[in-house]
Amino acid sequence: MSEDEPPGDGDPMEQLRELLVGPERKDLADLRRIVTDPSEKTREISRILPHAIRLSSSHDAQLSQSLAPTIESALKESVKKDPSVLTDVVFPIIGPAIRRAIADAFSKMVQSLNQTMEHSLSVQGFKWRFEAKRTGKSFAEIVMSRTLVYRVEQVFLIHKETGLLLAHAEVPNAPTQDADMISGMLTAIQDFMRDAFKAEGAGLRSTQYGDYNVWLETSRHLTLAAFIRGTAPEDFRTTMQDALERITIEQGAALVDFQGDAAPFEEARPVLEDCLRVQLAERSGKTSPLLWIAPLLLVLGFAALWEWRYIRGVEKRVAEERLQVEAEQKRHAYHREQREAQQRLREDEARRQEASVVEEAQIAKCLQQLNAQPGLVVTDVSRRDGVIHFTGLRDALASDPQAIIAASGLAAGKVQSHWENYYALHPAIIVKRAAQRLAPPPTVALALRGETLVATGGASAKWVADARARAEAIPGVAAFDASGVVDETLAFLLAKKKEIEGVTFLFQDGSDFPPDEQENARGLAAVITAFHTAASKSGRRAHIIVTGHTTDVGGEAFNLKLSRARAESVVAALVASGVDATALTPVGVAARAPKFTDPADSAKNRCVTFTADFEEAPPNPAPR
Amino acid sequence: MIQKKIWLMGAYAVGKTSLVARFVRSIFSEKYRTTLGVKIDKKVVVTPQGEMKLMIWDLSGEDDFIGADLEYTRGAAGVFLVADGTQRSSLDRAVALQQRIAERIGPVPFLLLVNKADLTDAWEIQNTDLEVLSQRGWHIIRTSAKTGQGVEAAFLALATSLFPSS
Repeated sequence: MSEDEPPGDGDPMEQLRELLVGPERKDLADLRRIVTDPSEKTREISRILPHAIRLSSSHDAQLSQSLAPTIESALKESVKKDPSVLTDVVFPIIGPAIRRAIADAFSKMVQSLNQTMEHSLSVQGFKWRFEAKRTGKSFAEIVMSRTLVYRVEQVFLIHKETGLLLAHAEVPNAPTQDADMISGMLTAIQDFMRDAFKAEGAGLRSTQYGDYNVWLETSRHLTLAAFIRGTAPEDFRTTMQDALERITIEQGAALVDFQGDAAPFEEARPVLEDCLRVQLAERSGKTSPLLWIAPLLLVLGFAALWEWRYIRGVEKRVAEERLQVEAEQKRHAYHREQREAQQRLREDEARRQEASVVEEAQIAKCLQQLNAQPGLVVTDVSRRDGVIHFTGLRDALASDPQAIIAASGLAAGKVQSHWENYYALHPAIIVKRAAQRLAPPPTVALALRGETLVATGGASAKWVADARARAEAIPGVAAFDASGVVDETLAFLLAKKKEIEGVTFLFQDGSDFPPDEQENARGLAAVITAFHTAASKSGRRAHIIVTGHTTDVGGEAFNLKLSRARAESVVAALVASGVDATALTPVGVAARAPKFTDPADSAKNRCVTFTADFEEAPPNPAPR
Repeated sequence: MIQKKIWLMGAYAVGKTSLVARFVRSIFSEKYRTTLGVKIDKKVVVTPQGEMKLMIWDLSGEDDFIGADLEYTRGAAGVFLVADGTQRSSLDRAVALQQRIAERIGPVPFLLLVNKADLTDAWEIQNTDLEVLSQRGWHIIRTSAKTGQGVEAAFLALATSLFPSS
């Protein structure tokens, strides 16, 4: 303490020392106090400790490593002393995390349960088949539209802060609006929700509108929005989260510097396209095995429960009531009875199941065969009071359903069927119906090509005209094509025309009918009569011009008269053989139209030739 | 193409929405603005630097905005402030709005559109008022929803100012 005392006046050495090193001595005393006085030392260290820790942490992890054991044991100590302190601290963080995890797990479970139930117990098949028949769509189309579980139709990658669209992917034919504005509006809606509820956190995660769901996943900079038709499974969210993470990692730099240029995010499109998916419901055609496995399992479960309880009971009694053998035996007997009863129950159940499986198979087969018939549609199969009811639609032209049901092996008394009449649009039925309405001759074959009824073969023009007028009134027929039908009368008339025109009667000098042609005249008369009759029967007018010719020898006026006379003598001969005179017109042309032009044959031009014609005049002109 | 989010703001009934209606592509009805508080339109502007896609966030009446921390105000690159030449108060509103924006998110390019230029006889806002603002560095365009005057020019001016400086 002597240093602290004021220097004595009388000690010159002391005075000198004070003069030379006085301030330093004071500093030295202060420093010594800091070093030796514990409270001073603590205060000093507390001043520099935070800085020292910061400095050390920025260098390396040494400090953390050396502190870790201490902190761990401190935490342990704290929990040992009073766990509630730490619980209070951690609860606000862990509570929401657990809640969300549980909610997610539940939602996944419920969804998968729903799907399983829906897939395995569906009896929509008949309805769809009927709908397909009714609407004319293919069965596959109906099933597709009805079993679409979900389809991710559009995916938007959105810059979260600005709402600007970075990238967009869609399935072909997706209903598209302006993607830029959609993404802006989605962001606005999210902002709106956040404002409205003043809540932090993940924000809006999905919205629903009718069949459509919009799912949203967000990261720090991005929002991924998926437009989903139908109900997607919860694990699709994981797909979305993975996609977001991938894009964030791959486009990190572009995100941080985003100035409105979306071009770099084109690279993220494949990731978005991976999110576009379609999921169809699986549909089994037969009755689900679950239908009979479930009760079986239930029975087995009961048995197992009984067994378990029985063993427990025995053990207890062996330990506690060794002497009550009799009671135990009684109990044994009781349980054996129970087990046997249970066994009988099980066997009965199995027999019932077996019988019902056989019957189900018969029903399924019968149904398949009924539905395979054109013009038969089963709309419902139900069971009431042990009787199987088939309900459906039947075209009057379809095969007899009773025969099919009888052939299926189902007991006759166990089945009833109820049929409503309808016009089936099955091609085979349409053709049957057309044959019934149009009554084609046996030479005509009918077929359906699309909605056009096609007739081929030989028939009269009258039948063709009639059929044309009536065909389009037949349900299922939109047009009638008779281009493949040959008109038999026309063919006949053309053949006779050729035959008639092939005949030439040769004359001598005069106009007398040559006696040696008499036989030919009779033959020709028969042909002309047939020609004439066929024409008038088919509503046509037939006419034959009988042309007389001469050689070019002699005067023109004389030759005209002569040729006319020759024609008239032929007409007379034909009329004599039974030809209707009004069908024949005699004409004389002298040498103006010689049949033979070779000079060597000029004498043969003393002859009569024929021209046969008929007009097309069908009795009922067709509209087209 | 560069895209930017911009706001369209102004006092109640200054004709913001009808001002741009003829010039933008719009798929959402007016109902969105009244229910959600915002409606989004799109406009592609061709500037000397290239094309720019503007996503226009048409905010409903500004009164709610003042004093409320709207989420919508995130990430906007530029602002159209709209005033009505025939209402002096709408200009004061615009000035207040601009201050408020500057406080909230710092300097953002903005453009003052003074609407109803077709009715100059009925104007309450004086040229001197606008000159004062002009001297403070405000860019002002007189527009008319009725004739379309000035609207394209406004889009072009804002888009040009938004291009990232190279």
